[in-house]
Amino acid sequence: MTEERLDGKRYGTPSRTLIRQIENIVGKESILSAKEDLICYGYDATNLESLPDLVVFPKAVSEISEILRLANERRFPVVPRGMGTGFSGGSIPVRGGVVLVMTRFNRILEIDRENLVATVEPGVVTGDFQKEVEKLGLFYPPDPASTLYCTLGGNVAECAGGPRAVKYGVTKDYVLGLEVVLPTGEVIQTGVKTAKGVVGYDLTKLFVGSEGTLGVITKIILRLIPLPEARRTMMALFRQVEDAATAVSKIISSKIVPSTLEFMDNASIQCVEDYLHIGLPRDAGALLLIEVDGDREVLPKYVERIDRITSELNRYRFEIAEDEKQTDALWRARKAISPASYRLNPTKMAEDITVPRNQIANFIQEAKRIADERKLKIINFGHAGDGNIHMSLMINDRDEGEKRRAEQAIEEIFRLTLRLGGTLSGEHGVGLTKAPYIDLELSQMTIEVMKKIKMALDPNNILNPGKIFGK
Amino acid sequence: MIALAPLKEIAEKCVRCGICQSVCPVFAEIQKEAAVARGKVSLIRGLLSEEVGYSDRLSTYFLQCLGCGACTENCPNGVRAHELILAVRGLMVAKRGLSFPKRLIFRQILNSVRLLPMLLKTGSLLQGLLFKKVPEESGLHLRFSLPYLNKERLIPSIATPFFLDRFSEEVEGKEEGRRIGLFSGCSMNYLFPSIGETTLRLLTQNRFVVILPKNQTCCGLPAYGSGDLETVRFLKEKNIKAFSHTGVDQIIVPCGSCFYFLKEGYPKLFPEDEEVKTFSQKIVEPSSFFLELGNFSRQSSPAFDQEKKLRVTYHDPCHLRREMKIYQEPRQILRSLPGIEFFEMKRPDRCCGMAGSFNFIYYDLSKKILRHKLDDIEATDADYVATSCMGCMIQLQDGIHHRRTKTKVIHLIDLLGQVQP
Repeated sequence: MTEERLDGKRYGTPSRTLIRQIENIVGKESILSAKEDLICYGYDATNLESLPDLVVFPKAVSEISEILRLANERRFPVVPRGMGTGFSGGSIPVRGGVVLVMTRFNRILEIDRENLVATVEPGVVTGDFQKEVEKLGLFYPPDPASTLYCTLGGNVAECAGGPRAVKYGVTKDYVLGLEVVLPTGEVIQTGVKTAKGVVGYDLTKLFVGSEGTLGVITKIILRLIPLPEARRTMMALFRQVEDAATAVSKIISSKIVPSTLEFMDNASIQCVEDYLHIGLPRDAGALLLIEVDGDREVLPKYVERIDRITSELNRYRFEIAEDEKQTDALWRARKAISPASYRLNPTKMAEDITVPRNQIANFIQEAKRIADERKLKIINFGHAGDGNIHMSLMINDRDEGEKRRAEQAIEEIFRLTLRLGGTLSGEHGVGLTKAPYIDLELSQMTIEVMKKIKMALDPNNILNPGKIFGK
Repeated sequence: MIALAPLKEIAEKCVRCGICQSVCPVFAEIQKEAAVARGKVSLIRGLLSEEVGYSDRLSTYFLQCLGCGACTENCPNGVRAHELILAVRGLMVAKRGLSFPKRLIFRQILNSVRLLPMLLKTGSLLQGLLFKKVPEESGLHLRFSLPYLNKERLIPSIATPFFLDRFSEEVEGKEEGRRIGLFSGCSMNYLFPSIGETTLRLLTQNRFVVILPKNQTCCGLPAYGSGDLETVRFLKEKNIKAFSHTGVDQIIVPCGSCFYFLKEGYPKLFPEDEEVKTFSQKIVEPSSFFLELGNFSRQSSPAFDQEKKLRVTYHDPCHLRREMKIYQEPRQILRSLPGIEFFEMKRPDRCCGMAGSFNFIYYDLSKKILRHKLDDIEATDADYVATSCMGCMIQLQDGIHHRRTKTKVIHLIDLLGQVQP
């Protein structure tokens, strides 16, 4: 995959005085400025890249305040970053400036078992936090694919989702309150530490998913729930996509909400079969990976009901995992999609559009037609339970013609998504990658309101500029 | 031998997902992108586009890697990152030359047949002067710091006479049988000769005639780890020559790291070389070898037939587990030995942090990495931690000595030897 250099209006090389001023704030040992280091902080999990001018590792809220005040004075961009695993370019310093790496804020401050609330710093790795609360029989459900190597701060900033969203919702459903350093340096608290709270505007929700453009998160209050006692995993293979889509609708209308309802289309199945050789039928239209959780006694009933529902459809095969090992085996195909897909072509253009659940089959059929017309390879997989589909065009980006055709296809697929009542991004955020398309989904007035909020909080546009609105 | 251009394709397979951040032991301590595979791959791209050169800083970052292969094992796109890093070290040497101590060790000492044994013999005479012996352990402490040797470090004492000097080139037991070669490697020859003796005994008891060529030498892995491919080539030729007239069709290698390098490293680095191919096909690893032989477990042993079974855990050397996929065999052996109860530690495959010269250049960092391993060992409350690599043994002994835990480090072969006296 070749990197794509971005042309934004850059701040320019910081002067010696400026570097010294920042050194005075955070200390010399908390700054990286050599080219070798800048190269390591100009990317996330997209194939985009733009180098910062300085990398700073703050360790106190006051340091962040001071840096932001200085940024307003000297007008340089500041870009907050966790572990750099985002999928929309949110932490890429597209106009240079300072990358603010938040990983030193990595303490779990409190897990309150009586009130089911935890207070954490933003640099805590999501998976580490989940492990800690699960030791106490508690549960923090949001599980983006990068759970083991992304931070809670990044999850809050992008409002990350994951397979469990179908039953448990996404990050915003668990954030009760925040401590935020505003772009102008002041520190505010939002939200509450209680289950309810309606005093004033809901600023917490405003900051969740704001992609690092409205403030730097320094503390997060999270809601926890009891850890489900047990979990069962099943896999169903269908002849037609429509059968799988019907299965999804019927399962949910039968009053079962699975904790996971993952889906793979025919192209993904073929791709994985070529890669793993595990005997998936190459002509299967779709694969569903279904997980239910809850009290041990109730799970057999759910499994049986799902078995019955899917058996009435055109299904090839139904497997139930009896233990941990079999569960892993069932997940194997789903987890292999990413590496397997690169066998089709070297570059992936990945989107995370979301449509209403009952439009999934329509979407897949139409998207395939759009790709076929332009002779492009497309695979669809993702979270069928909530309609969040990871649609990927696998292209050879050295072929300029193919690249252009792919860009056209993406725009048309976005229009299709909106026509079906969906949204351009379910969980990755707008960042850089979807910035050119937001006016397809949002009205001019809506965008204006958002810009006014941004201007009110960040009058000099120093915090993560060039994102969301940067067309 | 290595060019930058072929690395391009491999480097471009990295999609920068960042998963390596969750498995890299160095990143866990340093928390800087340049420490982890994703950052290093980006630096390789930087080298390709000539945005950066072979600077001191770049060299430091590329030396800050254990080569444990955890990144490669977990990469969803199959980027063999740790091999890329080693390849860049080769390029660094080509561009910048070796550091002075490495040049001295690899080019002057390892490259000479007589110099290393001679120096170490002198060393063994002087070690009483330079070091003080640690009671109850087979290790030494420096009396004062020397360059590249931290005073805190516990070093196994140099054992004279050296293993290869203790025996003739051909050793047979009571009954004559098949001939088999034994590759000593430096650590066994100079530091752990008793493991060699046990191997010899087990082999002759099983009716093997053991061939021990005197002119065998270092496998070359330390030189490879430092990017010195010239020395690797030289040592490879010496070793092949040493065994070429022995007529053996199997060569057993007790150290997991040497085993990996002779079996897998040589043919990878010299793919066109027919002699290398023949040689590497003969290389065998003790745990799989003795398992196949299969009669060790049936014998009971007075030493181990006790009321209280010994608690044993196993540490996986990276070269055996990740490179050679040998991890079930040692466990199979441990589970079948009488008098032993086998317990798995939490992360048996996490690198101990030794990684050859890494441990000398970054002693403090290496000890931080070791800490996690020691925690896991301690949690098992084991009497013994068994392993199959002499490098890991040196590291674990150092750590356990400082913590004063009860667990003793033992080579799997020595455990086998105790059961079959």
